[in-house]
Amino acid sequence: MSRARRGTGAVRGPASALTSFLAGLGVQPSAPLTTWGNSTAINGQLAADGPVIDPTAELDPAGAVTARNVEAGPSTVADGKRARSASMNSDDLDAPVQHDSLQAVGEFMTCAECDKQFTVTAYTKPRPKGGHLCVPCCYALGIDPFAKAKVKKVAKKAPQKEARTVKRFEDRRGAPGLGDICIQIIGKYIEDVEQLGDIGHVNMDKVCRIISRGRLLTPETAQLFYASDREELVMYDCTRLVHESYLAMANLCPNLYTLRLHYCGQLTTDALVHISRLPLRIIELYGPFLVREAGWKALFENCNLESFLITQSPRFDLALLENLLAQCPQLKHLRLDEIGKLDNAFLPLIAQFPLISLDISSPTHHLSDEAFVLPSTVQSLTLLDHPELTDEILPTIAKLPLHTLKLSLMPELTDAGVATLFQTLTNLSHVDLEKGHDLADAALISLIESSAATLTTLSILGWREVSSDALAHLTRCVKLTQLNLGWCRQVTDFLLKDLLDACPDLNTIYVWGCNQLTDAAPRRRGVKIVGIETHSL
Amino acid sequence: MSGDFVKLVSADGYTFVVPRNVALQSGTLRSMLDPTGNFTEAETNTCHIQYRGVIVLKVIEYLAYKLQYLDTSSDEIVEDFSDRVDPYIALELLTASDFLEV
Repeated sequence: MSRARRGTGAVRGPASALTSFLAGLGVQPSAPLTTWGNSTAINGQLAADGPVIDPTAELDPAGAVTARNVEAGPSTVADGKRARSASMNSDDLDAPVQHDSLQAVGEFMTCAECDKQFTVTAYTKPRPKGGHLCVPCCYALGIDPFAKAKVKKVAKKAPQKEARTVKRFEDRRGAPGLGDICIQIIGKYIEDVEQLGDIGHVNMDKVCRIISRGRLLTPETAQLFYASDREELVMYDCTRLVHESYLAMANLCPNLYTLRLHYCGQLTTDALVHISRLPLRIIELYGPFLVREAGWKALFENCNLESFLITQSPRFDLALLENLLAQCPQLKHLRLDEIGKLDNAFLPLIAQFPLISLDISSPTHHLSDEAFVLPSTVQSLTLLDHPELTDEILPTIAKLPLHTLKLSLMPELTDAGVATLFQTLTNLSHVDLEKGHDLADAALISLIESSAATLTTLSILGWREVSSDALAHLTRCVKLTQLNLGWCRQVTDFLLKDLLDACPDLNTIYVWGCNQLTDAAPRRRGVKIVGIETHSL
Repeated sequence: MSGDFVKLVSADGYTFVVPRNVALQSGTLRSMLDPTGNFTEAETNTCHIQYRGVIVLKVIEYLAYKLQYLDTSSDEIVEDFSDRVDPYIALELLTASDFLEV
């Protein structure tokens, strides 16, 4: 039956009783049963092939047309079962019959053409003038009663054209860079380091920088920098180094004294335990996230550290600091930058080290004034991003024998407080008071009074309130080499001219955000002036 | 004539006369030879490069290679320059290429 409807017309095998029965109820196989025959001429022949009305069958006395009257083509024998199933819902005969809207499959409806009742199937066809048709009427009107219900095609939306023009960078033109080619060759011959020639340690460091810049320091290329006679190793981008590379480093550089690893996110506890067998004195790690307690402990135990500089570690805690104090009591340089567990409790312990330089920056838990205490030997102090520390800490700092002071991003410091600090703290050479939003004339003049003769680098980035009169005092700092005046709004071409005349050693001035400067800003041979707005237009 | 060619002098005294458009493929040389920069190099059309002659030679060879394929899609370049580089000079060439921005 379904085969017939598939439109072959001419050739058709016998259909089973089940097929006929199902066809009577409007059920058809979802996939074609045969592959032969694909004629599309259905209409003309379908009347002969498709279901036919048994001309001998009489209509029900009630006049209803049920499936009993409609037979599948091949099985002309009326099927008792089918008749029963079709008439099972005879209760529904009394239900009000609607002409127009299609009922659910299996319900009765009245044919809009002949007013006789029929069972609704999935194939029930609508009458062109409204209502629905029974099967005989379909034939009468030349409609295929068993044609598959048409699925409304949803018009495909044309893909929206993007308003912006997207440049495709995939289409790269031109030859690869010579640097890339060289690194490729180095990677290829890495096993045979002698072939690559010796260019000296200074140049090797340069090569390391060049390779790191392209993030091309891989386990293969890293071997280039391992040598048994190396005492110092700096890797500028260890992002792609894996556990094995660190083991190789520990094995191939047995004499390392100084180790600096930037972006060593993949440095594991095990690797650090291996590295700790080296005679290290100075270690600087940037981002040792994976190192756990065991790794740090091995490092403190095996190495008599002078410098312990770490940035970004979520696992370094108070117990480890106690361990460090016990194992390396002679530590000279300590950096704990962006340490997740650093809090007030760390400070008394830190104060027990005989430190020369100390850097405590960006702790997750803010430090507070009452806990603030420092080792009395500190000569270089860096405190960055402490939103809760106020002027209260300045007397502690004033007692230190400092030459370098960096107090950046400490919004609670006041102009008067910092001015008082510089009355006792004299002869500083490096001062960085970036982003001290409330600092202004008094602090600057006080600093210049106390350290004019020794100051070499100075950053007052973000002192928006500082006046041009106070800035003019900078000309007294004749030893300045680097100066950052970013976002000091009163900086003018004239001030710059005075500074260039007064400070013979200047080599760099940063003036980002000093928007009074013009194209006519003065220059001097050997001095870089970075950030003049009009230069970038 | 001097407008079309420039002279590149290596640290050990070798002199290479190369077409200007080849030399300009290097960022550093382009800045050196920029007439608006008022550098001696631009006036005399001579650049001193502080690398050995063998390195400078290879750099110039690369610059010509780069110029040749300037407008060719990367996929279509079949000639591999790395075949022409001796591994023995690879490290020095790397530092030179970094300095000369090629």
